[in-house]
Formats: sequence, structure tokens, C-alpha cells
Amino acid sequence: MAKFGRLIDTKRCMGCRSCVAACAVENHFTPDAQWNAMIEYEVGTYPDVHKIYNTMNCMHCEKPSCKAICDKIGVKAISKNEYGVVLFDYKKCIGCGYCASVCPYGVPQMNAELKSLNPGKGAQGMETIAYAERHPTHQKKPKTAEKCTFCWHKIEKAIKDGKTDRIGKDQDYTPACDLVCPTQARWFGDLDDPKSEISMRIKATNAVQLKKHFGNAPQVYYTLDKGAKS
Amino acid sequence: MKTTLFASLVLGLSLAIAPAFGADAPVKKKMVFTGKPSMAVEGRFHKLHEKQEKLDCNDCHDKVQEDILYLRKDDRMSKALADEGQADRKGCLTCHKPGYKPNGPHSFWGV
Repeated sequence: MAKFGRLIDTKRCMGCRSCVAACAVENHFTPDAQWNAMIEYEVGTYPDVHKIYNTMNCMHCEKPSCKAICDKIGVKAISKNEYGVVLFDYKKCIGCGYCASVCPYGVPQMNAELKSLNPGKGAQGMETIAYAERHPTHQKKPKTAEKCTFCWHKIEKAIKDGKTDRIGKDQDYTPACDLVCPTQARWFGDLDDPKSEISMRIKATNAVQLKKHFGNAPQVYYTLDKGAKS
Repeated sequence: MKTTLFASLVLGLSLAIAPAFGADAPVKKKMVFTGKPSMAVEGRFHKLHEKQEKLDCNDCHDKVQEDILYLRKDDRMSKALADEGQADRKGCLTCHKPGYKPNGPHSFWGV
């Protein structure tokens, strides 16, 4: 069974935010509940200074603390499937915010109200699909937690089509953010396959997981630029 | 009338002596009822940590270190945000770590 993960190369990222925009359109996240965010900061001392662009989304941890707390309080709205994807069930979520409080990466978003993607400009993208006809990961509810799904609707489609080998390669089967990167700073694929492009790149670039000391074992790796935080 | 009185007497006696027969049953750990899970200041999370565990607000909220690698933009931890509700997650791990079982009447939700 594949275990999907992502590699983000901060040496290549130029901070254009194409990945953020693509996710917003694909998954209809609104500014109050971002699924993907670009974080930028400066490192070094004058005259040797430069900027780090570090895009963040759900880390789909192997030991997700959000799922642990959700299970402990008996809500059980968070699952981690056999492909390593952590998903929230909006129907079960009670909006307590515990998942948001325990995630060391600040990923779960408590969406107070479902706003339009572009207020006053009519329905766009996923908004044009009737609510009941949307993929379950897009049937959002106000006052519940939501987050990046690794574009599970696309991975699910690949599984149904028997094309799991095309995940990370074909447009229909690859997360929107990874598709649009103009600098090829994002890679998506099977972490369990040592011959997959992502596995080889992780090894070749000495990519690391962020905040390893929390022990969540994230499935998103970063190739760090000089001075970048981890 | 007599039948009703007798039935009431039998029922009353049964209820009165029932705990004595159940005395050998294993005692279940008591959970302190603190309401529906919620991160609100008056919600269960704060009740448990503040009222029951006697933690001071500053125990969590005054130890915030700058942490820019944080997705929720309004919550990115910085010292300036320390008074506005953010807590350092590393502090949680002081207690919520494997094998740590503090004394208390409630079940401990460790990792």
C-alpha cells in the first residue's frame, strides 16, 4: 500500500503563492480558513541576508495528534486512511477546537462561516457544484474544523481508475498545489516506494520534517535553504 | 391496596440493599463531568486545566516562543500574541507524554 507524502524545496520556492491560489480554487478555502499558506521570513545578517519562503499545509502526520485527541474525547471525526491521508468528517465534528489546539503546525482551521470565494462576483470553481453533489471533503459546514486533504478527491479518483501509479504525475490525480508550481519546488508521491521520485529527492536533498521534536512524524518533507527554520 | 403496598415494600428493600451486593464489583475510576469539549474560556478544556489541575493562566500563556512555522496566520505564535490566547505546545508535553500519570480523580488523556 502506498503512503503518500510531499516534498517542498525551499531552495527552489520563490514565494509566488500559485500553490495557495490553486488550493483555494480546488478546495474552496476562504481567507479565514486557509488550507495552504505561504510563510516568509528573513534570515542572515547584513549583507548576507535572504528570504525564506515556506509554504505550509497539513503534514498528514503518521502519528496525528489531532486524531489522537479527537478519538480520546469520543468524537472520532478524524481518520487516517491506508494511504496515509488524514481526513476530517464534517458530519461528526462538534467544533470543539481541540484538534486545532494540539496540532504543532497550526493546521486545523475553525471555519466560523462559509463565505464565498470571491464575494460579490458570483459562484466560482467548486461553488458552481450543488452542495449535495460535492465530494464529502468539500461538503463543508460552518463551525467545524477543516484542513488540507492532499486533494483526496483526486487520489480517490486515481484509486477508482486503477491509476495509482499516475498519482503525482497526471493532472487528474495530483494535488492542485503540486501541479501548478512554476519552479518545480513541490513533489508528491509514494514515500514507501524507495524508487519513487519523491523518495529519491528526499534522500538526495537531505530533506527533513518540520518540528520533529513533537514526534508526529509528518509526511511532508522540506529541503531547507541556508538558514531556514525546521 | 395491600398488593400495591407489598410491591412498594419489596421494591424499596431491593433498592436499599442493592449497593451491598454490588460492593465486590470493581470500582470504576470516576470521571469529573466538565461539560461538552470546548476550547472556550468557560469550556471543558479550561475547566480541566484551570479549575481542576490548578494551572495558572501564565503557566501556558506566558511561555510563548516565537514560532513562525505555523499555518493559522492569526495564531502564529509570537511574544506579542502571548496575552491573546496562544499557548506554547511544548508546555503541553510536560504532562501529556507517554508514561506520565498524574494523580487525580479523572482519566488522564495522555499520548
